[in-house]
Amino acid sequence: MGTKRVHQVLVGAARNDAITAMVLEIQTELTESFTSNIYCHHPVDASFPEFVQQLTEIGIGSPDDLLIYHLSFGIPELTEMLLSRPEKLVIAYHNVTPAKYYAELLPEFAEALAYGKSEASLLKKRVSLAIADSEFNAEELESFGYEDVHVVAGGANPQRLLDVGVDVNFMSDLEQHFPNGFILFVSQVLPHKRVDHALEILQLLRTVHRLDIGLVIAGPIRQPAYEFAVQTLRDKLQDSHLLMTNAVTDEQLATLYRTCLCYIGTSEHEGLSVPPLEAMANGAPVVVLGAGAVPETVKTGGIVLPIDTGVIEFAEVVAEVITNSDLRSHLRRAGVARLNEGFSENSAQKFVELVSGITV
Amino acid sequence: MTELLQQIRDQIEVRRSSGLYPPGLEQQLEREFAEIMSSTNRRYFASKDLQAQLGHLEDAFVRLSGQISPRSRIPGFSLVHRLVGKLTKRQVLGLTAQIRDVESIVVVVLKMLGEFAESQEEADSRVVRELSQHVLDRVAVVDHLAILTTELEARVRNLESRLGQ
Repeated sequence: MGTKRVHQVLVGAARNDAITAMVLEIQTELTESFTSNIYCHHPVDASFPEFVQQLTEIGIGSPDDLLIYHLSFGIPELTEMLLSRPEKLVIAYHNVTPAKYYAELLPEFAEALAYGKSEASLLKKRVSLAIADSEFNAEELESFGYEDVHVVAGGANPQRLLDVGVDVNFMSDLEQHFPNGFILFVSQVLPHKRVDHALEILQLLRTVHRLDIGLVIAGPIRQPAYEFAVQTLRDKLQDSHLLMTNAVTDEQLATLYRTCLCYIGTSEHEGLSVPPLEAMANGAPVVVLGAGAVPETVKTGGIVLPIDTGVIEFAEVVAEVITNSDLRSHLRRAGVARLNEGFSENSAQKFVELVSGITV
Repeated sequence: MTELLQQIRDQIEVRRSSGLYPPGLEQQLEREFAEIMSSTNRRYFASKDLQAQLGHLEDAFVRLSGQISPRSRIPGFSLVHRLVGKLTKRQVLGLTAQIRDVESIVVVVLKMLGEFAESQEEADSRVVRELSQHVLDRVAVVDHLAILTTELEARVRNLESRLGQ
């Protein structure tokens, strides 16, 4: 641990959250050379290590120190605080979900998202280094006037589950629940992830294609109101083949990836999208909608459908994957090849190397 | 992969013309979920608020004891309050018991009303679902007939042109 301070700042830390996972990976690398903590605007869950603290705990900084701000939401109070600090500022841009998905359901949340899009512009004059975790995000940062945006998916580690064993009890529960298998969508249950589309795809697979399979949505339910809407749709479709697991352990997640018939992604907005990569690493064939950064993330490792693909075509492609063993084998090999091509390097280390460049 | 996707798209066209996928199915699904989302805010938060208020009511009900502190900010009045308390204790406790009886019925009735509203809503949406399904079935039949008619017209035109030759 060095004497220079390089802290990371984010809106909130949460278990099973991709950005938090990336921040923790970066933290491990940072502490090799710097004194480093993670500060969150929102209260911090006691289950996190003690180096994850609430932002109110941050001490007095100096111009020799550095703050890495992970931008994914918008809070005016946080912007003001960042603008008033003496440290050099690095922005790590993860993109902000378009407000339209929340306008009706949670208007205040939608306002915060809309503000988040403008926050990058407001902070620009203070930023010494801009990093985006995908080309898609870099382009958006550039549209806000940033130059020299570096693209590093810092802390993204799709192979992180390779050493994790399966959860045998969970596996047998899944087998009992879905004797003919299931398709998987790993995602937080949020409106822009379009879990409703995944449910409709399941219906088409079961009714039109006569595939007696289930759907597992694995991810924390962040917006109970949206879950309520999905459950209403489920009642309407009279479906009983959907399993929403809420948050899962790493062992359970590895089990899901390794036993699913196919991984699907219906999200309409993604700044990076790590789950399809994790699915590939664990041998699942991948079929995803090409939203945001997804095409550049998945590349030829899976089937990336055009963003305007409807549920009928999506279901037809998934049915083909499930029933065509040659295609499944091809996709499995393509997934591994994709990961070997671009994700074998230590992204957290690369991120910290970039950051180290401006600490001297 | 491009070839495979094209094959799948061709297959969808065949299935559409055979009536397996009614015209406008995706748009209709999209509309239905949009409707669910637009009513979710009201329904979800109303139900949550009702539960919260019922919780408050039950808490208040538990706290209803009829015991009021005799303490007073005016010197000497604590004694007066204590005396009045003793004189009216019998009536106050009797009244408290009566209020508790009434309140317990109010809580039960409110819960029943909440459940009734919920089941009524479910019944309404079931009726709407059944009706829409019926309408959709009829629309699908009409669509199918329209496709068949178009095909027949094409055949007739074909036949007429052949006969003409």
